[in-house]
Amino acid sequence: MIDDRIKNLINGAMDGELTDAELAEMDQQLGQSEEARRYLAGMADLDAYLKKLPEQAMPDELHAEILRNVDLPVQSATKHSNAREWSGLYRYGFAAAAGLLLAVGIYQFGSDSIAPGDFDQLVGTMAPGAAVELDSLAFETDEVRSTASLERRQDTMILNIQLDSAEPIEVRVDFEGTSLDFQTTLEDQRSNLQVFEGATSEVRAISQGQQKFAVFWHRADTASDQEGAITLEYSSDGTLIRQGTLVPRW
Amino acid sequence: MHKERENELVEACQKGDRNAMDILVRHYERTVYNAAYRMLGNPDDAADVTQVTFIKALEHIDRFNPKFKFFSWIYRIAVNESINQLKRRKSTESVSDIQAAPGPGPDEMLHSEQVGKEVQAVLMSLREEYRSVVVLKYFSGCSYREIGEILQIPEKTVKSRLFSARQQMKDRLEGLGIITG
Repeated sequence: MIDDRIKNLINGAMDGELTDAELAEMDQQLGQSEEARRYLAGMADLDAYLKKLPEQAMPDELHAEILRNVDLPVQSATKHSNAREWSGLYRYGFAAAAGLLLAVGIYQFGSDSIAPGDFDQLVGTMAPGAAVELDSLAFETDEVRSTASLERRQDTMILNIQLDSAEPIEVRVDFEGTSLDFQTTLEDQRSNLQVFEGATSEVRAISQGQQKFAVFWHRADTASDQEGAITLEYSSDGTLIRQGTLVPRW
Repeated sequence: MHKERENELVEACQKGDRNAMDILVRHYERTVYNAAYRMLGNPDDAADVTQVTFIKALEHIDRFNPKFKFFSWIYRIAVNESINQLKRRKSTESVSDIQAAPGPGPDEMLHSEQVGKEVQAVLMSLREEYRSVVVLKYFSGCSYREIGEILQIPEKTVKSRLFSARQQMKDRLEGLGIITG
């Protein structure tokens, strides 16, 4: 049985990611182990098969179709001045989509001076009903200050996150251990925020500066009153800064 | 494409320049389509994901931060869209469902076509987080660092996922007699 060290070296060599010293170590181990050489041969076969998989030709009309369907945003100095920008990512048939579109339109194009609390109003537009506060998390380090609060409005679970960071911070919201049915995210884009959704188990956002965003879930048909925990991870440059959990309840 | 050139094109797109958009799309569309194809194993789904990827990226290009690489951004959207597409269709593909790659090598067509289908099927059998690193490594030519940027995971996680993915693929292809152990 060969150990993981030589396997790791062989994998690294295939990817051209070994140092000279590691290459020398691999060569030495290969010279001493028939099993390591067999492992290398098997991995080299796999590598070759993957590299031999042919490139797929794109459908002829796809390029033109993409160009036809993209509406580039028209940037203007006034629209993107110091005004807060509001945007929502609404997908998967969210029930309040029409209300959201209206609200986004108003906030995006009509306001340079949105009063505090408007984000909450927009959340309320998307998920009407009285808010029941369920759980919260707050922390402050040298790099980031954040609060996260979980609330329920009827059959919608909402996680509100506020961030203030000098450097880009990644926030990962992992809801794999729950039966929550992801619906959408909503951003208050005063600074840089990119949201990447993995709709069934996690939402990731990268933020810099002051930022607010919210994640919405519906109650799944199979949900019980007591859900598993939502895990929040804050990291910077791949290093975990803070982790916490919030517990939803229906 | 050099970062400077890419930034110029992105800036031009942000100003509404459709010629710049055409150049950016043309530069990345084949790689995005192929990555999506290898994630999904189906040309129609790959075309859908490719189109949605570019629409989402370009219609939000005013929010793109040039500190990030455009290709990292677009591949990340493509990978996430592919995963979402898989969830939507609740894929249960078997080997026979995978559509074969057309016209491989000249002299071993039947053999390599079959092997290609088997390799794609084994790729499809991997969990999505493993499949995405294999796809980005082999079909988008990304380094560990680039894959980490795209998937927003540390390089060591890229390395360990690639290791596990290869091990699983090797074991399964050995089981099929395609690789000799």
